[in-house]
Amino acid sequence: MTAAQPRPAIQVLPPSAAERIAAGEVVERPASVVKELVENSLDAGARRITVEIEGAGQRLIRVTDDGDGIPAGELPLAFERFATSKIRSAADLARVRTYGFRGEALPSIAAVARVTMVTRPRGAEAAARIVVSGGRREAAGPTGGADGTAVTVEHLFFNTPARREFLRSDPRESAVIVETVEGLALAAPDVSFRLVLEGREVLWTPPEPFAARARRILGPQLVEHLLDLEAAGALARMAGVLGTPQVAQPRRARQWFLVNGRVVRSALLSRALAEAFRTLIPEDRHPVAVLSLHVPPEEVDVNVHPRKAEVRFVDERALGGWVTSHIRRALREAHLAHVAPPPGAPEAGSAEASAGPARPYPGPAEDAGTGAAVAEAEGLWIPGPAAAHGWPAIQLIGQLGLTYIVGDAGGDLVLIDQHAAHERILFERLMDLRAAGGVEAQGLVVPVAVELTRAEAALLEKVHPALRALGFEAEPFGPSAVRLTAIPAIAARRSPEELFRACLRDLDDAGAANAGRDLAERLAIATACHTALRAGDRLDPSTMRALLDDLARARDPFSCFHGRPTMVRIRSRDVERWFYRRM
Amino acid sequence: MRIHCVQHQLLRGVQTVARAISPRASMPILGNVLLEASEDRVKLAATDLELGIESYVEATVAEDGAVTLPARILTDIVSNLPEGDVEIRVPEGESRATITCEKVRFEVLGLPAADFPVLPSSDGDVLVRLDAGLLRTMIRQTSFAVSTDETRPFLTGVYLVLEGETGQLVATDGGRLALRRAKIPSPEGGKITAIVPGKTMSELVRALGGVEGEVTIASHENQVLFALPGMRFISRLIAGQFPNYEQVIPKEYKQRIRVGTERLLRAVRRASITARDSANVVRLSASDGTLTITSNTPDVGTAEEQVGVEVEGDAVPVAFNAKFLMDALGNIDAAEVFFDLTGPLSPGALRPVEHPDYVYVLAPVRVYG
Ligand SMILES: Nc1ncnc2c1ncn2[C@@H]1O[C@H](COP(=O)(O)OP(=O)(O)OP(=O)(O)O)[C@@H](O)[C@H]1O
Ligand SMILES: [Mg+2]
Repeated sequence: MTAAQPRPAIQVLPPSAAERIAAGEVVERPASVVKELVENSLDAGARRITVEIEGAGQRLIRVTDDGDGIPAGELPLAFERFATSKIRSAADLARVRTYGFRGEALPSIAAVARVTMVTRPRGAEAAARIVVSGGRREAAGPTGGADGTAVTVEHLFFNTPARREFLRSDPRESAVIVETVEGLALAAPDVSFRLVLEGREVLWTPPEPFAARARRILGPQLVEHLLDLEAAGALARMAGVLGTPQVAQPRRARQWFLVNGRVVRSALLSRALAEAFRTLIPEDRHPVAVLSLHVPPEEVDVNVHPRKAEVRFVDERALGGWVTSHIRRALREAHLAHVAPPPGAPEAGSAEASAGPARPYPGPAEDAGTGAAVAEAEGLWIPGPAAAHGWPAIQLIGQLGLTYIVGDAGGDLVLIDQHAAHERILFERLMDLRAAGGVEAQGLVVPVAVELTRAEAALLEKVHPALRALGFEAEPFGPSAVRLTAIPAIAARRSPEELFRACLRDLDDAGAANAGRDLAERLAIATACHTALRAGDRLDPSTMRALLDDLARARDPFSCFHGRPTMVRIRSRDVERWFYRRM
Repeated sequence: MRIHCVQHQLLRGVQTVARAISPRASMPILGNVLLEASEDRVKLAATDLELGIESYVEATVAEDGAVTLPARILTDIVSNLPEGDVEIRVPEGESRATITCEKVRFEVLGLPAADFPVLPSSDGDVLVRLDAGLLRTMIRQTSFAVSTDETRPFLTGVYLVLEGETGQLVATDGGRLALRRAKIPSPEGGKITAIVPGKTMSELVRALGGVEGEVTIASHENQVLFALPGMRFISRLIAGQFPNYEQVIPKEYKQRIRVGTERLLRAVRRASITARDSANVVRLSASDGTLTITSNTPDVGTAEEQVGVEVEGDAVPVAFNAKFLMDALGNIDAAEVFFDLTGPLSPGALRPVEHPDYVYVLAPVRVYG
């Protein structure tokens, strides 16, 4: 918020307004305090915000800004309930553009801690200081201090032991604080942030464009694995940064969604993101992403309290589909091969690189704090999206361990998992055939009798049409058996009985990895999986070349539909490092 | 052991038997070739326990004896020796061989012959004798159709049937079936059947390429023995019930197409270029003296070709796996074939026009939306 107009004074809201905006508990944990204080700083038009944390926020939280400050005379009011400078009546709510408007944060915090506020509006003669502890004012008066406001919160929950009980471990609470500050930093890329945790600077940002901020927040380890995303349409505008499949995380920790400039939780956007990455990453992994959407205000559901982090949209389906398709498009254009880490580097997707506050942010000692500079020194920094786009031309070298195809992609060494690659090819073919409404079934001159268990027989009844649509022809043969007279043409090299059973089994297994997909897709997966070349199959060069050709034409060549990579790329410069040709 | 033999004869023998060795041999001895000298010859043998191959090389035996030597090294040595007389000498009670030829001398470490698996020395019960060339043709025309599906082992071999005056080889992988019949001198005994592993058959075809004369097929316990001039193949048989193939062979047709074999083969091969992305499906449809062959793969392209043919009966549009067609057309050894179609969903058959001894049945690919 800029301070172009003179700042309105703090006033107590009329009871009618106060009733409507009450939003329940304000201070649940140290991170909630940090959030409220930083939001106040942003609302005050700060350009630079420093957050200091000690004792995981229980001993001390200090937020210092260079914003508007509060005139000395209004200072006591700031700690009154329902006292705010941001709205005047309930009617203003619809227009509110500030984070705060309830006038509840400071009094709520001061009720459970000792809060010292030192503030000085620009041009004021002196700074003013007020100390409120456990809801009681302990001191007030003029003092020395810089322009802006510094709020120090000490001994959080000193008078509410029950609250303290509910806190998680110090590292966990610290991690939540870091995430909170990161989210706010994403929402305000033009503001410089500094976070000092237990005396160590863990985050420092200059004012910068949104994409740069997003990359910084995702961390220097991921820099080489990020793609930029931009899209505009009637429904929304979207900008963001996506992690390649290689850096997908075991937890949802590295996902941020912003709607109209605010960090939000959105089941819809999480799902849209996951959907776009489907089959590109394993089901139990989560994409890394920062997505910022701007949607017309009328598209956002106004019934959700504006202080809540959840958002809902008027047309969730349409928006979800739109988001998915644009992410998917960006992924399709990119080179998504997994890249082997350079010698000595931690793996990008590893716990080390992605854990909470313990992850190695560039410390102040190493450098002024820009992750980019550190990366540059190591030669890791690639500006913009990854340099190579699309599937590379690969020259065949041979087969490794009867499992991988080894190739030369413009000097880089590539390894292609023959099973994963073939699975991807077959899967797309089957889905294409189905989409085109065509079925290719290889007839059998020697039909195969398959004995069914009772469970299999019951299941067969349900899924018979879907099996037919894939190319299986199964006719009843005695009380508990079927006779296969045709199988999917694509699978003609495999055992018909084994394939048929595998398909039935995969369908039955509701809890299996493929649950949640539609029947046809699951069948296509089962068929492709049980048909594909396997690890251990010896391949001749022409087969390997054909496989590479087919893979190059696949829509999503970089992973099998289980989300395992089909290709790992080892950069030529890393190979050179192995041989000390390059340092 | 001490023998003298001729380099190129020894080489041929070593190369022949080494084919039995599996690249993934489970024991070191299975990577070795057995050399056993007696009377006026040295017997070479190798095995992967499924298939054993023996070869006899003429030799002057100064001292009887036996040893096994690593196949790879032995092959490399013998093939690089100068042409001429080779001496192999193994001191009594040792498994180290000295191979000498002109001024070249190798010493090779082997393993004791006693550790080598025993191959039956008996000639077995003779079942039938037939011409080597004929047997080779019969195997070549059928063995390509064997299955690689290990879950149905009985399809991974060629089915040998001897009955009355005829012998038959049959192979199928479930999707197509190849049958070759031949009149052969009356075998002893009644009906005899056996499933011979595909690998045995393909090694036999290779060995038969350089052989003239008669082959004796004999049985010994659960093994089959093929005795060729100068060599023996001893193979395990595959247990199990071979499918009832007679009922698979169409007895009639809806449409009979008479077509030049080479002409059809070329057309199918061309059509398969744009069929590869799908399941390699080519479509056929014949009427008014023209057979039209088409293929198409979305995003790749389409092909169409007309072939002049003689047609009898109503048009039966049908689709086949191009590979199934090419396999048969490339091995049928006939200038012209009958292509008998029985319906878009039922098997078709290829037969040489000249003789009734070969039939190839192939199931169509059912293409529907
Ligand atoms: N860092 C700051 N700089 C300038 N003014 C501030 C600052 N922090 C608080 N204020 C003033 O104090 C008032 C009370 O702050 P408080 O956070 O309690 O309420 P709010 O921000 O108006 O609403 P909410 O309870 O929704 O946060 C604000 O309206 C604002 O005028
Ligand atoms: Mg506030």
